[in-house]
Amino acid sequence: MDSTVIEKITSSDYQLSDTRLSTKVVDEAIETIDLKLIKNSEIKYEDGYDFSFLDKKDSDILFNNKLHALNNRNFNTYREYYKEAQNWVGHIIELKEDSFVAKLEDLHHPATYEIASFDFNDVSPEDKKLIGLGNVFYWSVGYAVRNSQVIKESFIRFQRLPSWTVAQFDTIADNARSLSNSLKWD
Amino acid sequence: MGLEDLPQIHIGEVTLIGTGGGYGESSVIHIGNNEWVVIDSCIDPNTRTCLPLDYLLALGVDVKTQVKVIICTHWHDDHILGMSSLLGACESAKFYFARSTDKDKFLLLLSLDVAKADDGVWSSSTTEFFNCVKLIAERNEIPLRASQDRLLYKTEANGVSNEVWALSPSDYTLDKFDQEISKLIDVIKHRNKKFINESPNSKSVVIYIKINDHRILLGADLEISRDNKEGWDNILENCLSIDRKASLFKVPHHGSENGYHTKIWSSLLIDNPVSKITPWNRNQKLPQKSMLQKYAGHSSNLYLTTSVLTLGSKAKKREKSIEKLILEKNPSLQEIKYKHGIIRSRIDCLKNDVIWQVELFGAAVQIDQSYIDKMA
Repeated sequence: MDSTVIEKITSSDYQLSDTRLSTKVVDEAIETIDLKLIKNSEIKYEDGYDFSFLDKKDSDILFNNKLHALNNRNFNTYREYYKEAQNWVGHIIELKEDSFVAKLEDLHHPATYEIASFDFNDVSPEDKKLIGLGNVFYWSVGYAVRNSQVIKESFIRFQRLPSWTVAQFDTIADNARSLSNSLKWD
Repeated sequence: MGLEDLPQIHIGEVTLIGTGGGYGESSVIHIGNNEWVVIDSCIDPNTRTCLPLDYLLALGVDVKTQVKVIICTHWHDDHILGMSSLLGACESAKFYFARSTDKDKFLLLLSLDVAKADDGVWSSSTTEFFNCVKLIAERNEIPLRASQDRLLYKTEANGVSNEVWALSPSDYTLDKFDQEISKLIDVIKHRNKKFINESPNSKSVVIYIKINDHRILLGADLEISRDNKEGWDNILENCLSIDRKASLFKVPHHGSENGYHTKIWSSLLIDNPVSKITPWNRNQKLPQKSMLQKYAGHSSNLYLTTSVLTLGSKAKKREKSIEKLILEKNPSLQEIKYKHGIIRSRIDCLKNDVIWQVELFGAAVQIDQSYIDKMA
């Protein structure tokens, strides 16, 4: 990754909001800087990464927490901020009047899955509009240290990937057509 | 007998492998003469291995040559996971499933969901299915369509003749599937959404097997429809390939109410047939007590692959501090336990007046009134 697009900035300037960083991005970021953050405006989709999810403003803990949650990584570097954590990826399988039921996969030990219900109030106002059947989210619980105080945290962030571009959709359709043509059908 | 005992060539076998928690089910059938049929697939979520393949290998079956047919009744997670590894190992097997007529749209639907895998969104059932189709293409084979009254396989040797028939889906259902696909594509193209489609139950492939004079009815997840042109009503009224009542029944859709039809028991099955159910346990638990009571009224030879009394409802074991935190933040969290059981039935195909010999392995149980009384 071009070092010009990664700046040594305080993590409080940026917020990782929605999606999973690729392993490659995380690895590169870890190697490159200490409090590893990636500046949104200078990296474009054409570079192979979509950083539209990076918005300004968040706390160190929230950032690290989310990074941890979204990447299933053990960041020893962050121990001073984040003590222990448990992370899941889930999707909504049932909607109720003021809550939803989700199927969850433990990101550390993906084997049997878990089910839990969440109140709509557990979801941030900006994510509430994303509550819908099948929608994917990440859930983390953990102990964080902030201002020398241990805080118990639980938070949910919904995935917000951009829609497929026309070109991406066409590529998928072309591949499907080519597979269809390569098959004999009865 | 031990689990690894291979049946002799004249012994028919129907083995239902099933799990608690909705992890899946699969039927492995010996149709005589060392020829095998596998219906659906499921995996052990801890090891990710394919359970029907594990079973066949444990028996010592030469899966490359002796598995003749693999049928995917429908592409829900609990019926398809592990299917591509099964198909990969069973090199000479024909692959049947219920597909729409519009092949391009069907593959586009699959491709879109598979593309989501790169986003980290689960797409296990479609990915599994897509991999099977790709495997078929690589082998230069034909993905075969299962539909009402279609003969899928037939052989005769050493005094054992067999026929494997599909009883569903009807042409009417498949036509509807074509129309439905466009709508599904519209849903599936949302990248942040896991594809949840309940409807393939109506496209489930019900299988009817004839081995000499014995008949087997395997109900997949087919449900009752309001329209008699599909579902169980269509089979009851319109199927031409049923020539006598079955003595062994895989109860449809985990023993749910919408898979129950009194006429199935009166018209398609002998009295007191061997009846097998795989439970399902997510946000809804199947079978429910009232339904199990009904099924027990039809058969005293009723079995569950996994006891529903033993399916726990706690969160997974974790570090104490994390467990405490989870309990505080979301006490509703519960693990869907995995336990698998096997109900194996064998019969001498050369004799008419014999009954199925049933063996239970793992978590499988026979159901009686005292068991039902213990259910909540």
